[in-house]
Amino acid sequence: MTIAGELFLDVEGVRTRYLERGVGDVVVLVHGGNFGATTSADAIEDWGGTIDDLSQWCRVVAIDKLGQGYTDNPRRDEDYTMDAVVQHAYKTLRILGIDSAHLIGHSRGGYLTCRLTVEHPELVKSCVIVSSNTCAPGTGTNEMVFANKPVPSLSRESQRWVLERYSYSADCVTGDWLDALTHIAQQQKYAEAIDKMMNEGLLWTQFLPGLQADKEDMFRMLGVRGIQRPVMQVWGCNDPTVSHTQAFGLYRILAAKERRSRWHIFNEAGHFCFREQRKRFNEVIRSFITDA
Amino acid sequence: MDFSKAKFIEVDGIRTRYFDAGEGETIVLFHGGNFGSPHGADCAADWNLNFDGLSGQCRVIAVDKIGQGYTDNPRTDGEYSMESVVRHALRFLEVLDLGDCHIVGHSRGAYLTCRMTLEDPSRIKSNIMVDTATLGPGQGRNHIVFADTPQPFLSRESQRWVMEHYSYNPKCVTEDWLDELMRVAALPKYQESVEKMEQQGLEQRVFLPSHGRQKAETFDWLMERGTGRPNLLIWGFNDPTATVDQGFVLFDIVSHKEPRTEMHVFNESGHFTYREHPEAFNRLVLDYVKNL
Repeated sequence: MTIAGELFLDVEGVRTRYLERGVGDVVVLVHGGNFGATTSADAIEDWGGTIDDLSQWCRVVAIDKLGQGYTDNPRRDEDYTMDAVVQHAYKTLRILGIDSAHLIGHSRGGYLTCRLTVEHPELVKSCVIVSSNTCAPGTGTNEMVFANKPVPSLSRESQRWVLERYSYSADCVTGDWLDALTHIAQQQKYAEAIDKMMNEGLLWTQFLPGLQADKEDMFRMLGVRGIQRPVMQVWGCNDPTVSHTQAFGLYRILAAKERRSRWHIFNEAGHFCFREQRKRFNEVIRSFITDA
Repeated sequence: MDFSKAKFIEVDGIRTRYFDAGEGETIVLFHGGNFGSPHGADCAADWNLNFDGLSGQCRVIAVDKIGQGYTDNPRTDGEYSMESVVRHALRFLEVLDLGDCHIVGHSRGAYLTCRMTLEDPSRIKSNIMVDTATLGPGQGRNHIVFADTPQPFLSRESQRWVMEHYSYNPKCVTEDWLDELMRVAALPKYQESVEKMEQQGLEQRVFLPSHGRQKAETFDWLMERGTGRPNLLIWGFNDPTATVDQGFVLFDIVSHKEPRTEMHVFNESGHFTYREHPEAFNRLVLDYVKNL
């Protein structure tokens, strides 16, 4: 399966898929999920038509995060962490020669873009965090929402069920998206990541505890010096995995130290709000980036 | 709670310590922690501020879980798992021929009581769960709160530090409690379980991965069919390890299929809610079980 404009790059031995389209200011897109996830096999394809829309007025660079999509798995067990995912994305941008960009991250990718902005503000012109309970304080509801997902997990039908539950309307779960994610999940390297995370248990011994500590560390940094860049949260108000309490908790942290903090909420939109409110998403992003 | 009045019973070859006093409705208390923990030697003595008060109005039994307190360790490495804790606890109720009882679990013990209720509710009248990140969705904070636990581990000062950092009011960490935790930590069988879990790595290789997988199954069951028994969740608002927002999401999960579910939050209370507010805790539990 290929997507128009896709390219590959070696990032310290990790073959990394990315995509470039359009001209102008660089806008980097970072999808959600994590390696070895048994709910859905998230990748660049999550963005759907948003890549076309944004590339009309900017240079879109979308990457497959470490161990996801068609990017290689972490090379060492100790790199099955969110921190390694962040460092991989940072190195990818450096190797591409991108030294100034607007970042847009979705779900776990929203944590990544926020973290990159805090750690490397010199690289970032603005940061957008879309539907991300990973980036928000408090407890997400994924374990509740996705209990009893259909088996076998990651089959086309199981992923359809998961993506529909994430969404306000099943219409945004398109056949081409499901085809792409199903193909990704069928790779040998995907099965290996599941084995590491679920059977060896790195999800519980390493990934989740490390992420929790990193999050709290990031909130501390945000509380001390702020994000120092224009920042916008974008939320679908029908997302069953992100509560309003969580979203409000993140906004309170961001807004306390950064005057240029925005928060946009779409109605009739779930977790993939850029798919469900595609036209308005593009307009809101363009307006925010123009101000930034 | 008179520690000299301990009783012992064989449960499938595991010599098991318990305390048994009072008459009336039977309440069985399951403490938290796990075998081989290098931070605290939790055992039935965790309940020492509650036991006598409860036994005045009901029959109360406090048991040392497998591998903890004065109860024998699991016999094989593969049994250093939560599954064997559940099996031992269910068999304990059976061997003691308790008839119908209310079970109260704290922390890892609350994961235990929930799992017991789901697996074999035949003797269980209600399931009371206190401050649990082990059952709570999302990620607990023990690894963050106890990152700087003073050494040598399990010394009196180290255990005091751990219990105080769990607590809102350090006064709930009483000397008689610490005396008993020190006696347990000094037992050769306790040292052996620390060696197994820490040095030989059973915690990372066996205990946590198997628990992670089983926890996902537990959420599946709770969302699909529920406990089939009344549940009461009790939480300390200031618990630094099992946060109250984990408790709220857990409430949503437990109440999804079991309408007879309540939640009670104590203010100015850390992880050991029943030690911080012993009288109010006892009254809450006694009123709850008597009015079912």
